[in-house]
Amino acid sequence: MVQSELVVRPSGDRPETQSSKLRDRHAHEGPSDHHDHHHRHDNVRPIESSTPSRPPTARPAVTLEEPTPVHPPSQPPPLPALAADAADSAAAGSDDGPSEPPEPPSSSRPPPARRQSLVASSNARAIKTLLASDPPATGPSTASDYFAGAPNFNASMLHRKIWVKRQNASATLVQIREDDLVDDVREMILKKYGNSLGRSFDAPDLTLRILPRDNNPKGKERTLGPEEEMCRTLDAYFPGGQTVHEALIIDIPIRARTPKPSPRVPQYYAHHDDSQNHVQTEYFPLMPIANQSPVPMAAASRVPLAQAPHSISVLQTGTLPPLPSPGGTRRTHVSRPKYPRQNTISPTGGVPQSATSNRPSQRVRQDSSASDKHSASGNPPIPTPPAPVDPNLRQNSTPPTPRVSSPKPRKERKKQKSIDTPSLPPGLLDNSVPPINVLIVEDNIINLRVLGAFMQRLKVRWQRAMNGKEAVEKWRVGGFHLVLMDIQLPIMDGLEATREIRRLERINSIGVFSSGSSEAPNTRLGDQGVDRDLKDDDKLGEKNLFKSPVIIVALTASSLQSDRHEALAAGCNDFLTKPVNFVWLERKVKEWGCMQALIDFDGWRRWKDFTNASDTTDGTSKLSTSYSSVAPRRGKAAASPTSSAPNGAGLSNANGTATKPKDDADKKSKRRSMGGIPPSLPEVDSAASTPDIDSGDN
Amino acid sequence: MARADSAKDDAGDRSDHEDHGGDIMKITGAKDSIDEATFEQILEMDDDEEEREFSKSIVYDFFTQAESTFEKMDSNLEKKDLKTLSELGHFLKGSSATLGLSKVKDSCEKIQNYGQKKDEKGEKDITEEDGLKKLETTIKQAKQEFHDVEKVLRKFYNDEQ
Repeated sequence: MVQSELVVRPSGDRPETQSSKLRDRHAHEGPSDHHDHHHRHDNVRPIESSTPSRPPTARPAVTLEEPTPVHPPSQPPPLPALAADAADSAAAGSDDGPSEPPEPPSSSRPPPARRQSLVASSNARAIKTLLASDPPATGPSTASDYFAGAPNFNASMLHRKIWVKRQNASATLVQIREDDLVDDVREMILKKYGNSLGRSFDAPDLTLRILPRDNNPKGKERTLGPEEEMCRTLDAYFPGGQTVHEALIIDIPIRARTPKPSPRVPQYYAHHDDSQNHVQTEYFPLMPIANQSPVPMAAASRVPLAQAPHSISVLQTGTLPPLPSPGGTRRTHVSRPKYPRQNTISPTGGVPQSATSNRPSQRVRQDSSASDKHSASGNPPIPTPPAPVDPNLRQNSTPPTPRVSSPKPRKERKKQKSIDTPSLPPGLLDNSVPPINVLIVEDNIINLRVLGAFMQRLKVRWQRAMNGKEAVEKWRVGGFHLVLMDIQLPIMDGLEATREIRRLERINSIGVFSSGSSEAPNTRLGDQGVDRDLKDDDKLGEKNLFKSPVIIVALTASSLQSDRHEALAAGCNDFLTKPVNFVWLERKVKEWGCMQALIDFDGWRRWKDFTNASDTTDGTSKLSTSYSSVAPRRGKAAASPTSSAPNGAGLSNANGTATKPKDDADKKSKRRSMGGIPPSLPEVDSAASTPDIDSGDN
Repeated sequence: MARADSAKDDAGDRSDHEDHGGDIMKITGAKDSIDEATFEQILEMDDDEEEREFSKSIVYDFFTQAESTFEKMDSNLEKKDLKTLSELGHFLKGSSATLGLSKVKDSCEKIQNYGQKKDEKGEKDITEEDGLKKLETTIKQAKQEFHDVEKVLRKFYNDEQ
C-alpha cells in the first residue's frame, strides 16, 4: 500500500496519465503476463527501445516507492539489451518490494528520468493489475469485483480523483484518498472551491448528491451521507469509473441571513456578506466600508446562478443564459468556476467605481468585470441584492451604479447622479480630482491667481512658475504630474520650456516604460544613446519623483490651429484655449490627473496614507465621492482610493498648502477669498503634507 | 445669469445707483464689453456672493495691472519699441481674456499683432510705420474700453468713486 501511494503521487496531478497508463499497461502486461512468450516480448521491445527513457524511469519508481530500499540505488552499467525486462522486473520489484528481493537490474538503470512520473505510476498500476489477478486489460468487469474498479483507482488504492461540480457549473476533479468518507471529500471540495465556497461554508454545510447512471438499478439521485465511503459508493454507482458527466453535485445550504433579502435570492446573502468582509480585511485593510458594493454585487451575481439559474442570471447579466450543464461539454473550462464568465459578459462601461478596490486579488477576471459592471450606467440593470449595501456606502462608491432592478437604492441613485454630473456649474467646484501636483506656468498674475484659485477648488496642489525657466527648474525638483503651460512667456517661452522638459525626461530615461506616451513625439527614440552619459546639469534628482513624463497642457491665447500644432510638436500633450473654460480645465485635470495618479500609484498611496493620518477635517464626503468615481477608471487606482472622510480631509489639507501667489500685504484679504485657504498655513506644511512630492521651493 | 439672479434676489437691498441685482449684465455697457460666461466662472469661485471677495480682488488687481500696462505701452510707444508693445499687448490680453473683458482683450490682441508688424488679425505683414500708427490708435482705444468696463465692474462691486 505504501509503495503504491508513493508511486502514484508523482502522477497525481496529471489526469491525462490515464490514457498513457493504459498504453503502458498494455506494454507491460504483455511481457509480465506471459513471461514465456518471447514472441510477445519481442513485440514489446521495440516500443521500449523506442522510448529510451523508459528504463530510467523505472528506477525512480523503485527508489521512490521502496519503503525499505534493499538494493543499492545505482549500479552504473546499464543493460540496454534487457531494457524491457528490466523495466518489467523493476516494476514487479517495486510492487513486491519488501517481500521479494529486488532484481539488481532495476536499480541499475541509468539516471535520466524524463517521463518518470508517468511511467512510474503506470508501472505500478500495471503491476497492481498483474498481481491482483489477471483481469483482461479490456476493462472493468463487475461492480462486485473488488479489482474491477482498479482502472479508476489509478492503481494506487490510496489516491484517487473524483469529479464534482456545483449545480450548473463545470465539473472539476478533487483528489481524495481511497478510504475517504464523504465527510472527508467535503473538506477537499472546500479546498478546491476556496473562494466561492470556502470562504463562507464549512465542510459540514455541504452535501453531495449523486446522480446514478440511467440504467443503474439503484435508481434516482440521492444525497450522500457523510459516513459513506466515497470510493465504494462511486464504484457501486459508476462501475467502470466515474466520468465527468457523472460528477457529484455539491449543494450548499440555503441560509437567509440578510436583513432584507431580495425575494429571489435570499439564501445567498450569508455567503456574500462573508466574502466581502473577508476580502476587505484581507486585502484592503485601510479601506472604509464604503466601497464594498461591487463585491456584493459580484457575489450576488454569481451565486444565485447555482440554483436559480434562469431568471436570475438573465436579470443579472442581461444577456447570458446560464451555462446549461457544465460537465463534459466545457472541458476547457473544467477547472475554472463558471462565475467569471458570467461577469465578463455583464454590461460594462461608464464611470469606474472606487469600489473595485475590494477585489480579492486572486479572482482577477471576475473582479474586474464586477467593477465594470458596477459602473455601467446605460446598460442592462444589474440587480444587486439590495440589502447588505449600506446606503451611505453606496453614495461613496460613486455614481453610476445602476440598480434598477432592486427598488431600494433608487433614492441614492438620484443623489449619485447629481454628484456625478461633473461639470455643471453648481456642482463644479464640489468635484474633486486625483491628488496630483500641478505646476501652473503663467506670467500674468491675474491668470495665475484665477487658475490657482480654481486648482484650490479642485483640491489640487499646485505651484506656480512665472516663466519658462522657472518652470523647468520647478519641474526638475520633481513630483509634478501636470503642467499648465502658458505659451508666451518671458525669458523662456512655454514651448521652449516644454522642449527642455522633454529633453531632460528623455536623457534621464523617464517614462521609457509605457506611460501616456502620446506626448513628446520627439522624445523616446531620439538620441538616447548619444546622451547616455548625462551631464550633471541634466541629471534629475530622485527618480521616484519622475515616474512618468509629465503631462503638459498648453494654454494658448490664440485660437490658431498652427499654434496648437506647434505646441503639440514641442511636446505638449494637450492644450486649452484662453480664456480657460473651467469646465474644460477640470476635465483635463481629471483626465490627465487620473492617469498620472495611476502611474504614480505608490506615491499617491503614500500621500494618501499620510493624509489619512493627518487630522485636518475640512473634507466633504462629496469630494471624496467624486474622487473615487474618477480613480477607478484606470482600474488599478481603484484599488485603494475610496476612503471618504479621510480623503476629503487629506485633500483639503494638502490643498491648503499649495503655493499661493505671493501677493503684497495689501492683498491679504484676497488671499482669504481664495477658495477658503487656511490663511495662515505655513509653507512648511506643503512639504509636510506631501511627503512624496516634496518640492520644497514653494 | 439666471442663476446669479435668483441667488441675488433676496439680497437685493443695495445702495446702488443702478440696481443690477447682482447681475453684471444688467449694468449698462456690460453686454458689449464683458463675456458673460467667462466672467461668470470667476464669480463662481466666490465663496460669498455678498462679499465677492475673490472675484473683486481679481478684478481690482486687473485694474491695477491694466493701468500700469497702459503706462508702459505709452512709454514704449514713444520709444517705438514694437516688440515690447507686442508683449505688453499679449500680457494684457491674457488677463483680460481670463476675466472675459472681451473688448479690451480684442484690442490687446491687435496691439500684439501690430507690434509684430502684422495686421490686426496677425495674418499680413505691415510696415513698422503703419504698425506704430495703428498701435497708437489701438492703445488709445484699449484704454477707453478698459475705462468703460472698469466702470461697469465698479458698479457691479458697488464701488463707484
